[in-house]
Amino acid sequence: MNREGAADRLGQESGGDLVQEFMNHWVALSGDAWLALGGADDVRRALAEAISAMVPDRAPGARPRVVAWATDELAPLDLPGLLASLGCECVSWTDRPGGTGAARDPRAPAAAGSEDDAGSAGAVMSQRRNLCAASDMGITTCSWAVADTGTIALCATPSTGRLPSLLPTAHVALVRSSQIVRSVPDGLRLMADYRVQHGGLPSTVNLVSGPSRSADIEGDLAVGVHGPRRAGVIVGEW
Amino acid sequence: MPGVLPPAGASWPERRRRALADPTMRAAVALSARNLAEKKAAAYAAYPPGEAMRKPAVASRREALKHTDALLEELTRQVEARGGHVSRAGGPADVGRYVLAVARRRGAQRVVKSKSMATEEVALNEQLEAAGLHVRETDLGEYIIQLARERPAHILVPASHKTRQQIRALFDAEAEKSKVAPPTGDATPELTAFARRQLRAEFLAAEIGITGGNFLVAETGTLVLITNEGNGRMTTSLPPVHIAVVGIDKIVATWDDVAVLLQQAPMSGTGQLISTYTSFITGPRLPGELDGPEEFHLLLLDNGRHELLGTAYEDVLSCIRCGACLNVCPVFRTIGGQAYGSMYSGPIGVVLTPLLGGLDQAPELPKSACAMCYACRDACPMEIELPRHILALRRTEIEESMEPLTVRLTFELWGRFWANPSGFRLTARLARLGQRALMRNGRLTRAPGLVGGWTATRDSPPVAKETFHEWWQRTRTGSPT
Amino acid sequence: MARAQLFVSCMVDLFRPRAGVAAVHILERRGVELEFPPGQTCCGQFAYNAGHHREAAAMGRQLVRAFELSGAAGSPADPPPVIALSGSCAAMIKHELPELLERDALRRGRTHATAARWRRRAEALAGRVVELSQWLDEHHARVPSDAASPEPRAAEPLKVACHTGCHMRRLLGLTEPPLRVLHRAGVEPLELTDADECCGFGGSFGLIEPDISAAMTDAKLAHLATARSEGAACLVSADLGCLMQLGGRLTRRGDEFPTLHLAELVDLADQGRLTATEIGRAARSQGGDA
Repeated sequence: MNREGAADRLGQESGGDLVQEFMNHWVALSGDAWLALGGADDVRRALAEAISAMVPDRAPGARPRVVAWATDELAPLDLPGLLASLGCECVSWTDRPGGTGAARDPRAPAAAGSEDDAGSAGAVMSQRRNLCAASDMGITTCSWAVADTGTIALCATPSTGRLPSLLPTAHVALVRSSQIVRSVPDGLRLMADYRVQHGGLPSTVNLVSGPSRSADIEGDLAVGVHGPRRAGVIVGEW
Repeated sequence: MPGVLPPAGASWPERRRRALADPTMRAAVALSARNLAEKKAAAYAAYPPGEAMRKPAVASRREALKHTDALLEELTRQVEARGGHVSRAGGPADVGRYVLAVARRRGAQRVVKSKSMATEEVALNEQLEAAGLHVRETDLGEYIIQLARERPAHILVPASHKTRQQIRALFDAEAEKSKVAPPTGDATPELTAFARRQLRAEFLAAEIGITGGNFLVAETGTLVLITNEGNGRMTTSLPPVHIAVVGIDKIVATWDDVAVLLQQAPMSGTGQLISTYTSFITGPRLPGELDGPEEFHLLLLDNGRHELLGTAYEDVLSCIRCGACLNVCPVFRTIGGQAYGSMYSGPIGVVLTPLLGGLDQAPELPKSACAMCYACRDACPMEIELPRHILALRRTEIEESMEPLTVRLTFELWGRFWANPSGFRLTARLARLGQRALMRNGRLTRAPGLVGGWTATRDSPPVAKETFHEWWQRTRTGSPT
Repeated sequence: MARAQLFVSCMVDLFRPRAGVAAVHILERRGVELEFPPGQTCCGQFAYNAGHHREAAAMGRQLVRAFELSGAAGSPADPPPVIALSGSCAAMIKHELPELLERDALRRGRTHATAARWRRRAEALAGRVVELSQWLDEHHARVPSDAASPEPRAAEPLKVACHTGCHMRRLLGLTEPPLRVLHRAGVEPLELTDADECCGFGGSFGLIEPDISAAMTDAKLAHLATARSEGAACLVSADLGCLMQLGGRLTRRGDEFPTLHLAELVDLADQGRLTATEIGRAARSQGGDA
């Protein structure tokens, strides 16, 4: 499950201990891991491998559907371009749904504001949720990661929604090696800093350690219960 | 104010009989408990920082309990500053009333729930279903026992008493009822795939998501949820309303405090260094966010907790619901969780059930569900003095005259006789006279009264022809007995 | 000669005095001048754990009185140990008795000063109590005198299954001493699988829940069967409560597998009589000794 970049530099990087341990723990938790320390192209290469490995074969002619965050951090990677070239349908989390023909979902909650606003806000949210539920893969970055436990931290903000890492069948997080700290308390201290800088914590911080699991059936490990069946990390620099 | 817990259902003798007569359940429970206990030991051995964090975690819990009221007020301010709603719930009726009011206001009918002991305490599902709401438990183990219409067998692994064949049968019946395809087999992936499909539909249609909470951070107004399956995230990300029902004892003072506390529950409960998902929720979604609940409600549940503060039982409220005490308890391993008649089973259940619900709720638990072996005390990561509390509850039952008169008199007489050596010697002589009729093959096989409890299932040696006292007297002091 | 007082426990006294007799012999062989204070009855643990603290305190006070040293001017500087034949009772005296006697004195309307005095008297006793196998372990350099000349050690030492009770294990921390004592006695102790799991006695629990108690014991006896298949000749314990629970369940199930107190086994070893036959005879014997 452990893929190495073309340069095969696993374990030889300085400061590689944290990276190595992070990836080892993630893989031990039934996650998938790729190392791509060779820059943006290396990361794109690893992502192509991840998609091929983690998205199950679809019916002939069906294209893998991907939903991805679209933050400034991801700009250098040109995910939409890459995914198109790989034959995937890609939607960015922050794309507005196309056209005004978007049907209003009756289950969408009434939100504050004008009818129009409420309708479109509800429609957008409903579209987002349906999109993610129908996607084969969600792609995100992360805020920080933990070497000791194989954990990534995902903060919910307008451009970094909760659902791309939750509803699609597979999730890949792009992790900068510099984001990996030693322990969970070390990471939570970064959140304390965030709180000071931003005047408050995000509405949700999700620490994710591998794919969804349960041992409720005869104590036997079941992977992919409600959350993603496959959870991957690409550790790189870009 | 004392709390209210759901009634045990069957009587203690009936629960005990059922448990002892179920070898399948007993084997499953014992295996699961042993397995989890071993995993805990392995986790702490493999990760020394876990143990290093434990002592400060205990200290911060104890300290927080001393300042519960002030911390709850700070928590409330923080949550409300983020647009959340905070309300105090004295007991079950308050919780039901609040949730139903939200449901009514929103015209909501469909509820999904992530595992919560607090909501089981207040029988929330029953209250909501009685009002016509559809409530679905989404934790895989809780889903299984919801389908089975049973109570949880263990705090962490509620369906650990069920075999996969039994689970498949439940899923088949549910598939039939919902007119969907049943599981394709009883292998774990097949059963899981069925549950995933069914529950995903529920998540996407739900109008209210209800969770419990593992910790509440006063400093930041944050709810901490520790889960493995993803249903906690689903429940708090998809429905437009999130209601969290959390005991007031879950309060922690600062963000730093929760950082050292966080891993103790997964490490002690299942041997994981951290659970798959740990969610820190601070209020509803912020403006501009495209997912997440628009309403966040925090119900702070008392239900008998507040009146334990400042008493000798205060440390019981440090419990992080890890289940470590259950896993090492020889009585739990023998009878399983359902025999306790409470959502809290094992040693913590023996203590918490009467403390929250009153001793009349479960008078048998302190005396009948504990062999005073101290395994639980050694296993508890929060260093709760469980055996001491069980002893105190036994003493209280006697002081409150909850013991049958025969037992009372037996002990009083016995105490009188044995508090001095001549009385002691007299009982030996009397026993020797009376025991001949009760012996067979040189052993006591029947006995009256309390001692008859022994001979019901074991032989006893008879009182010796010459006691040690008498032997010493005869051989060492040169004077006749 | 070293002085010591002997606390046999009510169960040994009434139900298995030969364990006490054996203890006297093994201690005297090791140069101990033993005193048996006849005022001793019971440590009160059974009543205490059942919640009957008044009765437990009454017995506890008697115990304190019985062992208090009559001396010229107060207690001697280096008081003799009180060797206890039960780990469970030793734990009761050391951990619970002082607080119990103080609390009970207050309940009976005594002054704080009187209550504190009871506490101190109990603490004085508690400080002197040492469980038998711990004493033997600490004084292992004392070679038994007046014993049969030791047979050359058999190439295959006799195997015995060994059970250490919960209170001895968890409250006194004495898991190793009984095993070492048995090794030195020339046997190979076999701990049972899940050695730290309770035998099912549990004091009053065992009386009011005979079925659950027996189920717990049956689980233990299943592990004993494994030890027997590995050649264990008997079951040994330093706690008579556990021994009576396990032995009583065995015979109720029609099984005559011998069970011995640790003192009895060491006594046989001292005398060079450590064979399966002698063990069987000792286990079945009813009386004490001449």
